[in-house]
Amino acid sequence: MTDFARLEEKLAKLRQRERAPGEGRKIRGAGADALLAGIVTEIDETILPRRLSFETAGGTVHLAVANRRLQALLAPAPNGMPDGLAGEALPDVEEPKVAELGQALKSLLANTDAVGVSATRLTDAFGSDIGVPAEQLPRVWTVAAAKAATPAETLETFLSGLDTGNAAWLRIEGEEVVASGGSEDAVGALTEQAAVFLDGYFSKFDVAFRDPALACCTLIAPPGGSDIALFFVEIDTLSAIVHAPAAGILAIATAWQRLVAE
Amino acid sequence: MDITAELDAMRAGVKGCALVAYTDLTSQLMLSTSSVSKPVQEEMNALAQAAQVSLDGGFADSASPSWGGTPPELAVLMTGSEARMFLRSPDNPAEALVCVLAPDTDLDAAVTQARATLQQIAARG
Repeated sequence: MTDFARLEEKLAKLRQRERAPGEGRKIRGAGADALLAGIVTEIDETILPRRLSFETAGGTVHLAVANRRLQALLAPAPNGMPDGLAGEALPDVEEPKVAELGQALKSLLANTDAVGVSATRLTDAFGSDIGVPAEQLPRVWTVAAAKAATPAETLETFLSGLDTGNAAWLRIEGEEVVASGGSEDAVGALTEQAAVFLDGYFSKFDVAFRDPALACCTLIAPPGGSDIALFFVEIDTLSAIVHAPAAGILAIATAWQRLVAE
Repeated sequence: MDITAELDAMRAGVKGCALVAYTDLTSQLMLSTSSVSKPVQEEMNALAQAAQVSLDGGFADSASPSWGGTPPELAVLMTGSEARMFLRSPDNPAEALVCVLAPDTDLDAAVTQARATLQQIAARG
């Protein structure tokens, strides 16, 4: 079994574990649709009656969820939620306010890149047959069912977000450079330095990263902001090396962090 | 304020910061530590070694030709579960601040705070 398969098996077991009440975590995604899909996943993973709270920049939304069903919007509701909906049971997917709630959530999630999630016990439970099954929500809310990005997609998303006016990058698979970005001169300079860096990196990798991880990255920057800094990412069997001005290298690390932070 | 108090203040000031330490890169020894829970010595040794590799050892030597060979000031090693940040002291290049951060910590804020902490440590002489 590969390390990746072992990790997937572990994650599958963790998904079966009931989350402790109040345990906080974050949904990350680019855009309202991705975040709303993450909320649907949270509903789909909730079996016992819970008050799921989703914290956004525009306010916190509280949902009553049980048996993998969205049962109600709970008070207090932030501005923009449908009038008179808080506390009212959503009997099934035919209820028009279910779609209205989806639109209101999308508006709330616009311009947000992370949503804080916590769950507490639901004090006033609705009937177990009340509510919209999570599997029906993607259709009525017009979002794609949540799907974890593959390592290749994650790396592609990261590299496509780099400003190649300032940065140069090489995507490496095995021992081959399979793609590059940036000006010809910058890519040339990076190609010249990449082998030097990788030689030192792999000879000391075990000292820097003692615990196995699906994804890891290394940022090394000189003093001052004008010189070039180096950023190297590995995810599964894929990797990429980036040269960018030191002044902007933390923003690049943050972009990667948002894609892979657990 | 002594070094430990400076480290405590930094840890309290950076959301998601679990540990701050001051290390001697040459000897790979931790000189002072502030931590949420008492770290085991093996973890501290591993952190000191990672700081040395990143700022003075193999990673630094192989990365620094990219910008002309000056020893690096900053290194960040990040996985999905944590970020470790190493920032060299401007006052004593053989010493560095080590921070263990949550994976979603604001790195920019953490580096800014770390620079301020190193200045405070340098100012106390």
